[in-house]
Amino acid sequence: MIGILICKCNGVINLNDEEIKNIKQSIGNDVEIVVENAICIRDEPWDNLKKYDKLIIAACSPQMHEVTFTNKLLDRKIFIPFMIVNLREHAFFVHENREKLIEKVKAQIKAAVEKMRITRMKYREESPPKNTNVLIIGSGISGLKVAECLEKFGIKCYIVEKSNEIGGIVKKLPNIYPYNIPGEKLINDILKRLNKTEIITNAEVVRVSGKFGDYDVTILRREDNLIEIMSKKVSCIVLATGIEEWKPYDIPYLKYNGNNVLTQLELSEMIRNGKKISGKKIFMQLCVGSRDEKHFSYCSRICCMYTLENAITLKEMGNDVYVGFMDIRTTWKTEELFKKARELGIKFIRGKVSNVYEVNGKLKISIENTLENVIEEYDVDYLVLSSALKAPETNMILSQILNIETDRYNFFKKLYPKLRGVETSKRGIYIVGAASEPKDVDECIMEAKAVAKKIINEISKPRISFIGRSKIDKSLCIGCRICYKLCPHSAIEMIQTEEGEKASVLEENCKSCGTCVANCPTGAAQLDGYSTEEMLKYIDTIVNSANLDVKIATFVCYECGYAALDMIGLNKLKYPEEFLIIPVPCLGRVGALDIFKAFSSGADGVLLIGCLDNGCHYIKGNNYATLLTSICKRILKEIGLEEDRLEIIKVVNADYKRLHKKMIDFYNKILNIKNR
Amino acid sequence: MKEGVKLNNLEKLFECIKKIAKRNPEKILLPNTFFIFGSVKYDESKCIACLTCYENCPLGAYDVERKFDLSMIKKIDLSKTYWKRAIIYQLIMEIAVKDLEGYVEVPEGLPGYGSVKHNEDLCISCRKCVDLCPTGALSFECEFDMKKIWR
Repeated sequence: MIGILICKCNGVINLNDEEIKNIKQSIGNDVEIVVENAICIRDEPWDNLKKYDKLIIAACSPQMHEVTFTNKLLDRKIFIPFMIVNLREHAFFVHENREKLIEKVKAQIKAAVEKMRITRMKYREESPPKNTNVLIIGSGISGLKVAECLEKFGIKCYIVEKSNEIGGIVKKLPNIYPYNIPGEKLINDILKRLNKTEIITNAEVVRVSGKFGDYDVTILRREDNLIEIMSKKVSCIVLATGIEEWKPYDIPYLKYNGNNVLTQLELSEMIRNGKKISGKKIFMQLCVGSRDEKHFSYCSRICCMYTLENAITLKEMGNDVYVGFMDIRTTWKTEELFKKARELGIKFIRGKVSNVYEVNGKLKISIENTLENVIEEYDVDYLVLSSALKAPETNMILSQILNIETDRYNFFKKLYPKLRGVETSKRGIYIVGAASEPKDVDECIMEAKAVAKKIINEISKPRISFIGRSKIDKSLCIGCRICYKLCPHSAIEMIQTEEGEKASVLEENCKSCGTCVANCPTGAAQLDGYSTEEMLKYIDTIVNSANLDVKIATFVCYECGYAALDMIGLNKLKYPEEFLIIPVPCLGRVGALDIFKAFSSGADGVLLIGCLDNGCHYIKGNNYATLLTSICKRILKEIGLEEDRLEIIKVVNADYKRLHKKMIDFYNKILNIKNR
Repeated sequence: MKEGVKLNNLEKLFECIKKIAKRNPEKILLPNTFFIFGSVKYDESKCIACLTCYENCPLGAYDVERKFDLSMIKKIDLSKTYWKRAIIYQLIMEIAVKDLEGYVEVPEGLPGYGSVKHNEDLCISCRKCVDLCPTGALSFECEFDMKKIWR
């Protein structure tokens, strides 16, 4: 029997007895409706649910309490599939007309019931991998810190370092803000705490196969013309490849030679090695190659800080220090450094060195002072270039070996820039520290801890899911490769069988976005909870059972789309009741079939709400939806319907006001079409 | 169509479109292409009859034409053809004593000569053939064949 648990939410969801009777009548007698208050904080409502085999929770947004509800059920050993119908943010907070509101509530609950009747959702537990070893690529501060954190939990790490020195860039820095600790000490402190971790220097990863929990890694180690090939089995891989300083040979007029014209990190190394420099005239130039369209258009973010550290150190050693800058970007407390540098009498000149030449063995530079509009010339002993920080070239090879994306500057791409900054599109592969963008030391350490926490979570707990992963029915698959080409997470592989080529799901990579389900021409690809049948049933019921004059089938992705709609609710902006909500994991799950099914069931308009371009949480799902929308619009037009009946809105959750405005506009458009 | 192929989702989609349609156009020019929507265009002059498309089409939408069109040789831009083919065509044109026209029958069992025929009615625009085609004789276009829906 299907149970419906309606939460009163302290009077927000105020359905009276008659209305509930009305709802129950429209659904059928084989369901039971229980009305309780504040189910999120009370325990009693959850104690009597054992008798149901499927459950519908009509309460607030799943973004708010899905985890709470799951835990409440699991604590009581109730392993039944459930679905949350959002009556609060999507209905009671946003609608005013009571009659229409009840119609919408009825339709939403009925659709959920009809879907649950045929659903194949069930409780699933994926056991954690047996092998818990972790491979870390790069032995900079981030890589070492990940190893340190993981070691506390008894996890063995292998660190692969391509050079012969452990410690990366941090080791070169003589002072690290705010306590002026030498980088070498930071690195050595961590190294002292590592007991089990195996660090392999002069080595590269050359081949990776397998999946999360079972990666097979081949490592090539070079030493004195000897080549050693090692093979390691690991559960997760951490990319801690860091950054490199660009050698500015490509700017010929700077005459970079590594001796008297040198880079900032080369100077740092000189200071670290204890070279005494005094009584010299030193000119430092910031933004060499960075913020330069010809080379690297980004700001390298941390050079201002270590440049000022070095400038202060040299000034205190008794040198005459000048700094040429475009802007000084000392963020937050590091502004202290800038203040201190000025107090010490370091001279700042806004401009860029435009020429360097030698007269009688003496270095002479000219710089245009853009504040005073004069060309100034200086005789100096050293010209120090704070050169751009760039991604190592090996990132490109690694991205091919691991089949993960890099951005146009060759840095590894975060899965989602705001919320999933250490994950990649592949499960079990993480990015840490400067592998995704230049970062300072404390950010790297924080990210290392985040990665360690993620890994421990993934490899120590079973993964619970009701919808599971995509499945492909081999008897229906015709091997057309559409899913193979569309899957954003490369979770589909083509295998040869006796009946020809067939698609097969790599469960470890699958993130259950449903893109394959939406676009499979035969219906071979299915995702429990969002299978073709379930979706068609849901769409059909919700559109048909709502007794409203205008009906708008609204497909909402469970990420930004749903969150933005929740924000509208929480801010109590009003919109018409006619928007019938059909949640999907990602807009990639919305296929042409779903759109046309909505129209053929009687919807007057179809609206898709999802994440921004490049903001899709499943990488490409909303690109596919955009393409599909433009195609379906054209088809609608050609077969005699108005193309304005279909629209896609892309929002970020914070921009809910824009979504609200667009929804109202869309509603008016549909109203116009209807009244024409 | 190949035996045992069931296009459940596509059939449902066509039903839905049929139900709401007020007009029945034969072809629709789309703003862009996506799987299922679009059509495959076949350029015989580029085809080397390797039959990869015929062997790999999941729907069996390709037929082998055991014919070699002689008049085609005149139309082909030899600078864009594979050099070995270009030499053969060149030689044929040189030694020909009468105008090149008509067809030559191609025996079975010898791929490399002849052409294929693409049946649009069966095509689901999965692009498998376009991807596999070694010569670029197949391309994907923004035209959607609606005839299969109204049938």
